[in-house]
Amino acid sequence: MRQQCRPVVHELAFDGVTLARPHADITAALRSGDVRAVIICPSNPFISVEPILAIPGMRDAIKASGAPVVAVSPIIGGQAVKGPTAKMMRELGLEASAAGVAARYGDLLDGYIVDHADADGIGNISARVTIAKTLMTSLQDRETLARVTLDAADALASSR
Amino acid sequence: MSDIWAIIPVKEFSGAKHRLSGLLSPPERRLLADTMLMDMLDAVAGSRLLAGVIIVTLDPDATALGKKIGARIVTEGARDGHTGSVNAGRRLLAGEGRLGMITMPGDIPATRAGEIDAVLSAHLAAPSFTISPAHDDLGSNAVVCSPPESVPLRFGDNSYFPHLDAARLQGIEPTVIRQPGIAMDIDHPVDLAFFLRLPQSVGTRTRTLLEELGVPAMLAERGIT
Repeated sequence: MRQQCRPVVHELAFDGVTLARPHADITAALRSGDVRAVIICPSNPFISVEPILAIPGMRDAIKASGAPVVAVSPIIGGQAVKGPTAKMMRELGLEASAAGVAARYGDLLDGYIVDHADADGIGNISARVTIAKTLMTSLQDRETLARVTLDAADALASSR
Repeated sequence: MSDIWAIIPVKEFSGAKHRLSGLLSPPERRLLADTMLMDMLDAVAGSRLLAGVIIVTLDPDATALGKKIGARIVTEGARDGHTGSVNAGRRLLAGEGRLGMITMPGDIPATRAGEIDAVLSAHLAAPSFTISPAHDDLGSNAVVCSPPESVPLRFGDNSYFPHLDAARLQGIEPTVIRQPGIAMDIDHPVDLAFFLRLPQSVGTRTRTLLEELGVPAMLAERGIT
């Protein structure tokens, strides 16, 4: 943080993660059968999302919830909207693309929302893809993307 | 108002939905096709963003239903299959200088007006192409083109990914919007089971009809869930 992510990333490790446990409210919510969707927001997959997914039992609890899991790509046109996601991907030897992030989440994803700028790469994504404007510059953009994402989750839930 | 028109091709109802023949008699299938179209037309008529509706058909019932909601009935191209019918409607709109069109089949009765408006809201400025795929990612259940002939279309059992490619060939990045009701087309018995499970089917005429015909019990007997 202090060095603003200038050093090259070689590897990511979450100290103590094997001792961590998901919060009871989260596991209870995922078990309730009332979850409409699990949405992975367009955050940095390595330092924002994976620390959550790395908690033992978390991925299994999400999968067992039966709710569709939909991620919004944090990459638009090969670039991160903000933060070091694309830089980290390149340094880790990964493809800095929307498809690369989807591959990172693997079989956790049922649905994936990508921007028009990344529509060319969707052939390599195993989740069901939605292509919409994902760059949010106004409140209207945020609302629209939220609706697109929830609609996609509902469509995926109904086709199981 | 977006000056986008809906084009709904309806083939003649007699002989409709033969893939459901193991479950329903010919008159029942005809009634189902008729009822599904009524639900579709309710949705289309309730849309806030559509400029008008064209039904391409030679079927007298579809014509009567269309006239009730003030749709234009077009017979040209009605015998040329689904793609031919859509293209006849597109040609007409393009000739009139309309800005765009959305085409949907008559057999997605869980479609709601709000879903159509959500698809149209996501549609970009011309030249543009938006698609809402079927639940199996094979069919193209709603397709929006601006201008009306922006992308060549070819409908069939496996048209969704080819349509994405067709848009890119025209230099247009497609928009893909998923909607649960639009995604649920009804061709096979298993689709009826999906439809009956879908929250969006509650309150549709199609659901009421299926219940009257005893379809839920028939599906259960056959182990289709």
